[in-house]
Amino acid sequence: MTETIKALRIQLLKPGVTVAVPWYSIGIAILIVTALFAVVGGGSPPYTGRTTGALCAFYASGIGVQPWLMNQLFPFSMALSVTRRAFVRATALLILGEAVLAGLGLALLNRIEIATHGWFVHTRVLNLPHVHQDDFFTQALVYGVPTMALTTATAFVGAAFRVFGGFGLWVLGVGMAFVSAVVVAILMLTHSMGHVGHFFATQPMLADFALYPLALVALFGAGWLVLMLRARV
Amino acid sequence: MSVVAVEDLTMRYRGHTALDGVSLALEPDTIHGMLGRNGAGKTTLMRILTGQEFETSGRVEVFGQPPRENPAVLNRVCFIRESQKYPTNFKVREALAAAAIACRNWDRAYADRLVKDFELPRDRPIKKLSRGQLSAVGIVIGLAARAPLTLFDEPYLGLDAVARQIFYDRLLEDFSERPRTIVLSTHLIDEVADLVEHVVLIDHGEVLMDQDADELRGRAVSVSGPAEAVAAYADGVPVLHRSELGGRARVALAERPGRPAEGVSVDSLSLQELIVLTTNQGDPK
Repeated sequence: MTETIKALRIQLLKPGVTVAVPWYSIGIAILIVTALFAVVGGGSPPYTGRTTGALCAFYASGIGVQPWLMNQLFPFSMALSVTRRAFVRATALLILGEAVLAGLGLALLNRIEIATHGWFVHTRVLNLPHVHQDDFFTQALVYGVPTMALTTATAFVGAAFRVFGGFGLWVLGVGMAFVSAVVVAILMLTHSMGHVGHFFATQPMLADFALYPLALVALFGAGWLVLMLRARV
Repeated sequence: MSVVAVEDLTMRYRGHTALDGVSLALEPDTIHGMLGRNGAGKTTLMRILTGQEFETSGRVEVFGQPPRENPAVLNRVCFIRESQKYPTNFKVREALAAAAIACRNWDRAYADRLVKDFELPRDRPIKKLSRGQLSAVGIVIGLAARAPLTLFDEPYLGLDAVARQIFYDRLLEDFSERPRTIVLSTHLIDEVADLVEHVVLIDHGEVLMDQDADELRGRAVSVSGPAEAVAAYADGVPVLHRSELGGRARVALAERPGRPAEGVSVDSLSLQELIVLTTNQGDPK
């Protein structure tokens, strides 16, 4: 455990990079959206008419963190004699911590948005209709688990780059795109696309935003683990 | 007990044999010079010793245990590479803070002193450092870590002569106060000739020389004089190099044969000359 904590402390030496970037982004996004709608004005427009996609900024801005960890901090940590296992455990803790923080933080911002009637300008940044949950902790899960899935996927990409290099990552990307295209083609040819859409549409929201992303966490997490334990420096 | 014990170590990578049946032992509290040409296998060996690379076959023990994923071993090891990668957005002080977290013998006061000696800007991002400053960061970490086994792989790329001398002075000074096992890989053999106590010469993945430095210094000689007299003097001794011009000859011998005949002059070979000639020649034994 001491080794893991050591590796985690090194990862947190730059909290502005490892943890804070998505929070800067969502903060700036809220400010911009609020300022924009304050300038636009227009009395009391319907609440649904002011729904924004600014929440994407939170998720998109954090995608560079894990590749940075895998390709810059990992070799340096190994030079300082941190083991692969300790680095992996520390990163897993970091991912879990970030997901918990994202879930609780975004759920709190959601409550603030509701209480301030859309940041005083009737806008929707976090309280989007398709992700709304009445219970605070369920809401936190809906925000937090996709964060974990995205972070794990980017960690996998970072590890793939570490192990296979740029060309390997390109082959992996093309391969995954090819497999996806084949799956879509099969669904189209068998006229099953509608069934798939219907399946996900009829699932409980918690399944769509927590259960299935958790399956992605398991999938990418396993791949990431295998790659990292074989990574050379 | 040896700090490092390697037996029949082989490392193959994408069809290339980086190390071929290497066996050696590094004794504790000694400065070892790991010498050899580019691509000889020195870095690969050091990467395996520090668990960064995986051997294909053979036995590797550091402090009596396999190093791979072994915190009991790795906690006592620090490896600074020529191409050491630092997080580019780290500042110098953050790189040192990471080392302070990771290295259990970290001496902060000593690190501060070294930072001053090398005139390192603590608050400058790593990506804005010159090549020499980057090397200095590695040297500060390697020395202040005070790891029982410290490996420096070409640690002073881009460092000027003054900074290199500071490194040698600090290394020797600190080593005499706190003896530990240092492995120094370098191409600047003349500069470290008086520093290293034991020499390991690697070429094409094989160990050509594994000897006490003092023994080596006194052993190999350059002999010059009339060709016939030189040939007679060198008879039966392994010749590392031979050149002739007119009736005069100059040979480098792996061993000093004895008392020379009149007209034959004998000079000791420098460590660098010996290494260069041995590498060109193959095993002198």
